[in-house]
Amino acid sequence: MTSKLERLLAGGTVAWDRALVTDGLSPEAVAQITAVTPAAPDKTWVVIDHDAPAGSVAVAEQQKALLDWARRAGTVFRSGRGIGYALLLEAGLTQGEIVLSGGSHAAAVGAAGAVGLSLPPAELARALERGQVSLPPAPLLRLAVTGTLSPYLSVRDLAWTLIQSGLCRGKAVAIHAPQLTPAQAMDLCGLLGTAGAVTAFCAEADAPADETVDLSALRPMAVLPGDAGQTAPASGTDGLRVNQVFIGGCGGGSLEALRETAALWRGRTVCPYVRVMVAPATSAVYIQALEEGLMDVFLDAGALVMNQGCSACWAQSQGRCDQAEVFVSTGSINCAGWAGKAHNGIYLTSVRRAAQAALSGSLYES
Amino acid sequence: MEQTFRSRVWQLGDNIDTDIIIMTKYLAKASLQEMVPHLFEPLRPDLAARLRPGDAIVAGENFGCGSSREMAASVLKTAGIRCIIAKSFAKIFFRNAINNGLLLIECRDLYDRCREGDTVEVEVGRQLTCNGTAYPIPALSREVLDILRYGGLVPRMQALDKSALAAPAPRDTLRDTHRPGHTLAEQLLLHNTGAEDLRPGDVVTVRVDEAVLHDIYAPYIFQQFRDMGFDRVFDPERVSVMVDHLYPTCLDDDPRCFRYSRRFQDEYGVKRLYVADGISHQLALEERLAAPGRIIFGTDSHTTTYGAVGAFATGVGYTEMASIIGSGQLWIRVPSAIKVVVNGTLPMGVFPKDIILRVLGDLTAAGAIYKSLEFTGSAIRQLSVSGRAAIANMAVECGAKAALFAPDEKTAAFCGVDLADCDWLRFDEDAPYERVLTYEADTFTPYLSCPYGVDNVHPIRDVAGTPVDQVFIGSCTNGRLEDLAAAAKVLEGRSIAPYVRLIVTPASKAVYREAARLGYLKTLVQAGAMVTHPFCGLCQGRSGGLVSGDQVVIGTHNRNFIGRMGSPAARTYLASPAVAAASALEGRIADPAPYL
Repeated sequence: MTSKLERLLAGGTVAWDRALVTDGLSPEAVAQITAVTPAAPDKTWVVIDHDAPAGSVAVAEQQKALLDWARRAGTVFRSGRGIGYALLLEAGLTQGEIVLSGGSHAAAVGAAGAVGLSLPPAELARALERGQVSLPPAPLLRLAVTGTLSPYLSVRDLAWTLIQSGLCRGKAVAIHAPQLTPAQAMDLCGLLGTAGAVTAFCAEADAPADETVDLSALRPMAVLPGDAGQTAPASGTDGLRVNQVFIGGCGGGSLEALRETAALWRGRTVCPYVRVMVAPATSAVYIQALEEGLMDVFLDAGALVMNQGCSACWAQSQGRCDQAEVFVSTGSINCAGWAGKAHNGIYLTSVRRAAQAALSGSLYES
Repeated sequence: MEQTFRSRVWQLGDNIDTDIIIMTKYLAKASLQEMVPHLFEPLRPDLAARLRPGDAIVAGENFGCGSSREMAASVLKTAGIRCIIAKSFAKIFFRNAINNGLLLIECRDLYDRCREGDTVEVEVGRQLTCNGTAYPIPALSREVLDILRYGGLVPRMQALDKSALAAPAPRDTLRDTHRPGHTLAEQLLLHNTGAEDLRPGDVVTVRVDEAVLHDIYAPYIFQQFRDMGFDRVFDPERVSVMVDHLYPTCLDDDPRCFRYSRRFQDEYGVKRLYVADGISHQLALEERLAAPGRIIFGTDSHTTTYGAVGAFATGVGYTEMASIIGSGQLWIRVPSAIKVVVNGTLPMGVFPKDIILRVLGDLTAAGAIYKSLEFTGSAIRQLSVSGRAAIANMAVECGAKAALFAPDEKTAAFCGVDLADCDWLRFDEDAPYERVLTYEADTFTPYLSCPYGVDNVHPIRDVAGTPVDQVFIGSCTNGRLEDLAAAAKVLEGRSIAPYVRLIVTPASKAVYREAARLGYLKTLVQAGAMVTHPFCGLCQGRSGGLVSGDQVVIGTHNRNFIGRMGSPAARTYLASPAVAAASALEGRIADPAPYL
C-alpha cells in the first residue's frame, strides 16, 4: 500500500491523480461540477458514455453543459468513444493512482491497482476545484483469492458472494488475485464498489491476507430484480422465460466477454422472441472485435451490435422494457423502474448465463 | 355525416408536416387518446390543450406533408377536429384522413381572409361561410364519398363481402409489351390492371404485388385488420413485416410494437419477418421484394425508394395497409407525371443525394403533390441502383406519389431479372408530362437542405463554415455501402473535430458486414464515430442522438422539420455522406472535395 493511500484511508488529504466526470451524473451534480474551475484540467476527464448517443433533449442538455465546461476548462474530453472507466484503463493507470468519479462504479479502475473513489457531487466538485481529496477514515481489508474458476462460474459469482457476506462494506479492499484477467478484475472491483466498498483494487500480497476466498468453492449467483444488493444463489431462476438480454457494460463489454459470447453463439441463433444486444465497451474493443470477426457472429446469431458505451446497462434509451418483461443483463444496475417506468425485472448475471439465456430464451439456475 | 355544422377556427400555415402534427416519439403509444395532448407540440405547444371537439383547422399549402403516419389524421380525429380546410393537402395525409372519416375541404381563398377564433359554417358538399363570405366546396370523388359515407375505411371494409374477394392471381409474367404514349407510372398501372388505356385522374384498382409493414405501426395495423373482419391475409408470401424502427427499444412503448410485429407471422402465417436485419427500404431492395413492374405499398412514406428499380411504390397509413393485406388490392388515382432529365457527369464531390436535393429545392415541398417523378438522362443512367435509390427515396419530400426510373442493365443485374422481360417499361417520347425539368449535372455542386424545410436548398457555398455539433450518416436515403465508402474516404486516417459527435448507422446487416470487411467501419470508429446497429435510428428523431437548444445537426437522412432532432430550436441540414463526413472532420459545414 502506498503512503498516499495510507494517508487517505487514515482520513488525511491527498492530491488525486485522475478525475472522471460523465453524463451519468444527475442534473444537480452537473450544475455543481460545471460551476467550478478544475485545478488540474489535464487530469480531469469528461466522458460522454452513459446515454450516448443522447436519448432525450434533457440528456442532450446535460451533455452539452459538460462539453461546454470541458471546452472552457481545457479538460480531456471523450464523447462516444466508450465507457469512461475502460477508457482510463486503456490510457494506462498505475498502481496506487487516486481516481475520482461521481459514479458508483469508480472502483472499476482497481483492475490496474488504481484506487477508484465514488464521491457525492458536492465533494467531487470541491475535489476538482482543490486538486485534493479527503475521505472519512476507512479500514483496509486485504483479500486473497485462491483457486481457479470452473468454466461454468464467473468472477461475478465471486463478487456477489462477497457482497452477500457484507465483508467489504465500508472498507478499502486490496485484492490479491493474480489468476484473474484485467477484464475480470475490472468487473469485480466495480461491483464491490457499487455494493458499498469504499474502494477495491488489485494489489500484490505485501502483507498477510485478512480474508481468503476460494474460487473453487463458489456457487452460481444471480442478482434478482429490485436492488443490486439483492444477491441470491441462482436457484429460484430456473427456467425463467426471458424477453431481453444485454451483454455489455463494465461486466460484459470487454473483448474477453465478447469472445466468450461469440464462442457460445458461433453457428447458433438466438431465440426469436428475445431482444438481444451486445455492446463493446470502447472504440478499441469495437475495432478489435470487428477484426476478429466477432461482430459477424453476433449478427449471424440475430443479435444487435450496439455502439460503444454503457448502452443497456444504463438502459435509459437503449434496451427499454415494459410491464412484466424479464431482462437478463451483464450490467450492474437493476433497481425497479430502471429499464422501464413500469418495469421491475432486471436480473444481473454472468456473461455466460446471459449468452445462454439469449440462445434458449430461458434463464437457468446454473 | 351531418349536413351543416359550425366550427371555431384554428389557423396554421403552409407545409404543416406530420412531425409537427404528431412527433415520432409518440407514435408507439398504446392509444390515440394518449397522443392527443401532443398535437402540434414542436410548433404550438399550447394548442393541443385548447382544442375542443367540433373545432376546425384552416391551413395553407400542403397540409400534412411528410411521413405516412396515419396518426397525424387519426389523432386529430380523436381530438374531435371536425374538418380541415386547407389550400392543398399532402396526398398520403388526404387518404389517411378520409379513411378515418375526417372531412377535408380544399379551399384556396379562405385562409387569407379569416383569423384564428373565427367561426366557419360548413354545408357539407356545398359551401362554407366565414365572416359573411361564402366559398364553394369542390366535389369529392366517388371513391372518397363512398368511404366517408360509411364513416371511414374500417366500417367500409367491415361491409365488404370477404368471400367475394378473388384469390390472389398467379403472378403475371413480368414480360409485357411497351405501350407508347404513356408515362412510366401509367405503363406500370396498365401492366398491373390490364386496362386498355389510362389517363391521369382515372381511378383504378390495383392488385398488390408486395405489402411492407413496419414495427412502429404493427399494433394499429393488427387491430384495424381484425376490426375490418379479416381472418387471413390475402397472400402470406407477399406480406413482409420489418422490425426496423423500434429495435433496439428506446422508449417504453417499443416492446409492445416488437411483440405485435411477430403476431403477423405467428397468427397469420406471414412468411417474411425481418428482425434486426436493417431498414425496410434497404431490405426490400436486397431481398428483391422490389423489382421492375411491381406495385408495392408500405407503411412508410419512403417506400418510394423502390422506384429506383422500376416499381410503382408508395406509402400508406396503417388502416389502408390493413385493408391491403386483407383484400390484396387498393384503389388509386392515376398520377400525372413530371419528367426530370439530368444529363452530363456529376463533378467530383457531387453525389446522387445532391441531385435530389437540387430537384427538391426547385420543385419545393408542394411542387409535385400526387405526381409521378420520373428520372432519365445520361447522368441518371450512370448512377448505380444505390444512387437511384437515394433519389427515389426523397421524391416524397416534394409530395410525389411515386418516383420512377426505367429498368436497364444495372436494374436487371441488381434484381436478378432478364432485361428483356422488363424493357417494356421505358421512357416514351410521346408520353405526356405535365412538366419537364432538365439539368446539366456538370453544373451541380454539393447542396444542402437547410432549416427548417427539405426544400430550403442551398448550394454549399452559401452555408459552408456553419459550425456543427453532431453529424449523422445513415438512413434509408444514404446508409448504403457507397455512402459509407464515401464517408470512409473522407475520414481515412483522420479524426473528427474534438467537440463534434458522429453517429454512423449502416442501412442493413449486409451493408454492415461488407463495410466491416472493407475496413470502412474501422476507419469510421478510429475517426471517432459511434457505429450503431443497422436500423432507422436517429433519422426518426425518437432517440439515439437528440440535441438540445439550438445545436446544429447535419445528416444524410431525409427530413429536417422543426423538432425532429429533439429541441424545436435545433437546426438540421441534410446533405450527402461526403459532405456530412467532411463537416464532422472540420466541425463545420465543409466541402468534401479536398478530402476525396
